[in-house]
Amino acid sequence: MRKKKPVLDFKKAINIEYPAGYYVALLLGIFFLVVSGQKLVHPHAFATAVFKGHIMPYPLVNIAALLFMSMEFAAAFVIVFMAKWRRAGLCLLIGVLLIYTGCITANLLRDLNTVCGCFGSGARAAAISWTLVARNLGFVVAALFALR
Amino acid sequence: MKTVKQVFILIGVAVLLAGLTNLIHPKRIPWVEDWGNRVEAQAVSEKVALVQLSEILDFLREDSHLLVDARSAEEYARGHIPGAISLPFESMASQVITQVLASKKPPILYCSGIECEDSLLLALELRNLGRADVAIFIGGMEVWRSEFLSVEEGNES
Repeated sequence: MRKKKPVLDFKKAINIEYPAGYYVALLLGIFFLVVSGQKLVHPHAFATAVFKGHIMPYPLVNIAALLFMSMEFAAAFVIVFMAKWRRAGLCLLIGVLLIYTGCITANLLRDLNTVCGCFGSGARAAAISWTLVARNLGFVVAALFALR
Repeated sequence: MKTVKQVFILIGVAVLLAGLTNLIHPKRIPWVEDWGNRVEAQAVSEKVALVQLSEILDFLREDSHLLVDARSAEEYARGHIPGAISLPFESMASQVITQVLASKKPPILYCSGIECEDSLLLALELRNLGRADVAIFIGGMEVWRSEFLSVEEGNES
């Protein structure tokens, strides 16, 4: 009798040849699963953050916010739970992070003092800065490391 | 090639997820919302500088900026950000305008909250009068009170 294949085979999920990449991917995945989960729970807060970026045409702000939080969630989900889709998840996450970073950089260059709202957009959220750009690029480098 | 195909499938799944989430979400948002009418959007299009709450707290500690309350005198008396002076947009007392124009500290204007236009209108007026470094705190008293920060009462400014 054929043994039933488990849905989530964690033993198989770990890349034996490149465990460091696996663990980095897992950390990134869990982190962004939590972050995007919060955005999905409070969609208007994230839409406000997208609005405060003043990059998107205003009528498209809500659609863009819904799409970005869903892409972040889908990417993080497959990174954590679907080994065969991990590379695609990492690529999508890199794409989303580069778009966020591009928006922050554009606002810094045009001297627009706004908040990021990347990990929540409370009243005391810090204004955007080059530190945020560096942090996002750090995430991109980590994702590239996991992709190697 | 396989990865590229998977990325496109993931984007498709994300589009479906976005649509489905917003259909069943108890806090669903409208697909299209007129954000352009917000005071902050108008301030950005008028190129008026914005200041965030975290910065206001720093400025208060450093005493580096002049806080200006653009609400009515009655609202100001009921409670304002400590150290702010009153310059209601509706009356615009010339004495206070002169004080703001002559101040060495860059002025930061605020009013009742994110939907109030008085701080932006006053900022544009001050800019027309030659004060180019004017900035506005969009959150105003609404955000200030939401963070349970101390308020000053009375007419003294």
